[in-house]
Amino acid sequence: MHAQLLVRLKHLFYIILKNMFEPLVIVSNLADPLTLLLMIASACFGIIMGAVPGLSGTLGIALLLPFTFGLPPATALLMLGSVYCGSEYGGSIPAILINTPGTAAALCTTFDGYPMAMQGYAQKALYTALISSVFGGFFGVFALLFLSAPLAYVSMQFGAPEQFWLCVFALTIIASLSSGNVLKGALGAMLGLVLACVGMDPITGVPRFTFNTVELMSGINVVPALIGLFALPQAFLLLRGQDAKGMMAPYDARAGVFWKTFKEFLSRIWVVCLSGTIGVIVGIMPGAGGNIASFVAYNETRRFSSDKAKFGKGAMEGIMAPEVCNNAVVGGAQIPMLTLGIPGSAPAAVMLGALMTHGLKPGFSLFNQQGDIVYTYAFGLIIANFLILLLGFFLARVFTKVLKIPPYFLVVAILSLSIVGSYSINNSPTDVFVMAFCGVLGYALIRFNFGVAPMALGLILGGTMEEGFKLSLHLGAADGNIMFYFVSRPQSLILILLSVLSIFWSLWKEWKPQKNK
Amino acid sequence: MTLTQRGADLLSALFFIILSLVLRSQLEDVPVEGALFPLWTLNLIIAASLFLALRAFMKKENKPVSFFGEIPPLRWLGVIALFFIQVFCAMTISFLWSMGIGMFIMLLFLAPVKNFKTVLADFLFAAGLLLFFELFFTNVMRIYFPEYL
Repeated sequence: MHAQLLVRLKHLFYIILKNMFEPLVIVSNLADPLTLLLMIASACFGIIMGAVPGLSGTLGIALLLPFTFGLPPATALLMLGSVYCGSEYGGSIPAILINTPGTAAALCTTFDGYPMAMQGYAQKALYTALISSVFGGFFGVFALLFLSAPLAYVSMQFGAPEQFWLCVFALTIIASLSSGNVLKGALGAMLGLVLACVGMDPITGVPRFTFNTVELMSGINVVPALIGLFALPQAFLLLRGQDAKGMMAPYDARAGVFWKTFKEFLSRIWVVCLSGTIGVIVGIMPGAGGNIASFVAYNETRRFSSDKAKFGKGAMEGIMAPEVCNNAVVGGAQIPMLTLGIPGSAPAAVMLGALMTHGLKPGFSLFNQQGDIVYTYAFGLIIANFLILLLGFFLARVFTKVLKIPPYFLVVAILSLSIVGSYSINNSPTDVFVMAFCGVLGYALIRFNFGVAPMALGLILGGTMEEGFKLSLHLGAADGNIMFYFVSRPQSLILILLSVLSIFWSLWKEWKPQKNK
Repeated sequence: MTLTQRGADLLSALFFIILSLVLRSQLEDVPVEGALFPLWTLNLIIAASLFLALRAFMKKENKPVSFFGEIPPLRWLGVIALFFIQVFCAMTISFLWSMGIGMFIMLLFLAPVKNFKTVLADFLFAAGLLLFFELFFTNVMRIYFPEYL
């Protein structure tokens, strides 16, 4: 048993070193001035998207996606990754200065960030968030570097039935976690699956759900649908105008604060280890995302802290924990995305759409055949975090000005970019109409507590799931027993068990508060 | 438009059931191999919708749910109408004119204060965005937008 495991590990490392990891190619890719310039611009864009309450990293990635067409896949992914990393840091700026989280994941940062800023230490609070975000980012990227190849190797053991059950598992998890209501989440996910079936069936060639229109024959393009689902509802929600915000904390820039904060940060490095680990683990779970992870990290840090009483009153650990955690989620959420094609968070779902648009198929073949792209991306994320550190250090004052942009300008900019972005994918007006339809549908889903993430994931995974389903049917028929083939393999059984557990856990979670009442 | 949670859930369940039935009718001429997966999904949607409706009836708690939330309904409807007109005209008549006029009207519609300074700012913002689309998408990325005028 151990010998077999050792042989497999040796084989994996041989493949990594031989086929995947080419240092010279990675260095030459990352040394390209255009790539670095685009990463800086994208990180700036991401920080702004995170810093403006109501906007998010998911929206930023969706809007930037059409700008990446025509670029090499590694550069395109690095641009989107920089937006993702930047937005997670950006969310802390309004959380600290105006007590309003820029992103859902930054909610916990308000607990101690705003009190610290109101005590006259806004600069220290912002630097704490910046350094924590960067260290959290590193933690996530290292997890991505070390865990993704072994997990991709495991995915080689997956056949058609596992492909189907893996999608079922991902949908059950995201359905329960993203909407907080497992039934509504499941309905949203199934709606996404149905939308994924629109167009010509790849095997029989017969059109499905096209209502005899030629425009829908090629199916619903995922990217315009994602732009509609994630960007338009955000724009519509911004129509409520300025949220009731707290008083803006005074910001006085002083020299030497950064190094002092950095030293204090290093003396609390255990928070990085704890919150980073939580971020990576929660990030790997499909659908959980940074908002859940940062709450867990904040609670655990308080539990292990020697001075629990200072939490909520401007504790440095109270800023570090959520910021390290929500940035570690960035790397964690991309591990299942790159290896299994299952995104760990909403931004990772859009990233998966981007991956597919650039012709990359997640799984072991991505690592084995296009390892230079994956590793350029992973190492590039380390550089992206360094760039965010520099941007946050030099442009902190500029980013605080972003909070003063009137929301109605953002509404018009988001709506216009959505139209232009959707059209530019295929030069197709149908894509623009699909985007507009999905936008209104997404708004309704949010308002009635269905959430858009389950539907988006259903739409993304629909094709893969149906492919696994059909292949299993054929193989099962050839084997003599279709049902047995679907459930008999050990890998399938594990995935079925996980799906059932995830459903029961969500039902129990829903039932428990009612029982407590 | 304020509904109760029960009303909203019942309405959603009804919508999903009707949608599923309409879509099921689309699968009549599709061979079983192509119809099986969507058919099972639609059946599951109907079952889940019935369960949602049943749960809505049984639930004691009945909180109000608003479709518009804190957004003034006229503001929401106005933006939706302008957006769809903008999309339709941009794709069928002239992209540049429709986007330019559409953005400017939407900015005017949404601006909380209207004076010469804000109108000028709105105009410059719309013009700037349009220039960016033209320079980046058309000149750099070679994406040509519909122009039928």
